[in-house]
Amino acid sequence: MSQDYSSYKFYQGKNRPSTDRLFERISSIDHLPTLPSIVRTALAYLDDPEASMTRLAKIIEEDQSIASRILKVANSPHFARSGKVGMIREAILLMGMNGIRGLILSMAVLQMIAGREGVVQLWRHSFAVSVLSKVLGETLHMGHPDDLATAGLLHDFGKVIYYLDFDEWIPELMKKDIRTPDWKYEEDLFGASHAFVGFRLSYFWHFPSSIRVPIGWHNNPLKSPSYQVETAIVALADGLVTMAGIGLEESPFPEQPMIDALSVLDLSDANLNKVFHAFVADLSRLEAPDF
Amino acid sequence: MAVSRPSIRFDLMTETAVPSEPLAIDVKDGHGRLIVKAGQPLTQSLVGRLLKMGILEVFLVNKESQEADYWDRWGKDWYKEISDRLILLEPEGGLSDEAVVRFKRVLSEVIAEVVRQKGVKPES
Repeated sequence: MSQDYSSYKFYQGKNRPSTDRLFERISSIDHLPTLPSIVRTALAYLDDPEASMTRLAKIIEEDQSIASRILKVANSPHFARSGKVGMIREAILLMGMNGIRGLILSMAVLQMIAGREGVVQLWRHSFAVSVLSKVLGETLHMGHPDDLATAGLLHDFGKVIYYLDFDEWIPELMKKDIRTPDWKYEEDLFGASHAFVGFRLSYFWHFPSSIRVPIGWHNNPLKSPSYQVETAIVALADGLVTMAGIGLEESPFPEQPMIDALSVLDLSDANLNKVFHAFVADLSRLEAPDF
Repeated sequence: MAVSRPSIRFDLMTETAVPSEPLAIDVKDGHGRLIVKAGQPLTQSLVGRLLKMGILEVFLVNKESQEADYWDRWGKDWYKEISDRLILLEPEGGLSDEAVVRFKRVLSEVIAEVVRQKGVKPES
């Protein structure tokens, strides 16, 4: 079944921001927001294949704000249950290099838009999708759990550009008809969805394809050009978290991509049962620590 | 959700009064060693010890979840709440896709199963 969007209410106003404005912004890393210097140092260090966890931990600890937030995440029920609470070095061990790259980046960027409408919900939703993507990957023995966690954490990351560069259009996004999927509305309004923008951003910040593709196609797993299983897992986690009412209030209804994801994964009743068990049996682990 | 969540987050850094509710989840140290088992009460000295170990928050049992019919109510309320959110997948007056029907069937079975498991009290 393909989704019929003909009855949805798209943007009705006369003016739209120029599509060139968005595409110019995501055309080069030089046009992207400047990250705090510690974050830039940490991300550059993470590009070094010889990067040591001890040195990386020291770099992160120089920014107490980011360090304490990382510790909060490491102490959240999902991670604490695996017995890995403690110092920054342990957090790196726990989340893996790409995981910590995703967390540092998301913390730094969310800090830039902190206090704005919908940002807390964005963080809560992203955290829950991250945890559930990893749990589903482990349950089904599909994909790499750490990459799934990072793709889940950053799957809506492209929305940050709308906050930073299209400030005057955020109220328009927030008041859209709640039955219209956010990504369809963004395509209509800006010329590209947050998934496309997130795909571009994740390329600039050197994430591997196993993370970039699920970010770019989580709203359309059937069309994913590669890493289709990973993309479907993130899409399924996104749908289930939305269904549970965690996070994003402007789009509270799961959409067709969640069902498309099940079609890609081709789960038997027994495996679907396992997926739902992993999801329902312990909802507290999907709760994000305060940002 | 009409029925509250079964566990409550407790921030060890900011909360000053020690609550009477027991721990809902095991607390382990950085090496995975068990420090306090779920069900144990939180004390002032334990809070100090956990903070020294870098543990910043714990989850406590919600008193409401101890009521005999809590899980039954939770299951019904939660399934209704999430079913109501599937409106974009269920065309008005039309037939739902077979995959959506299967999705709802397996989900309701799992919720019933979880409610059964959680609702069973250990014999005293």
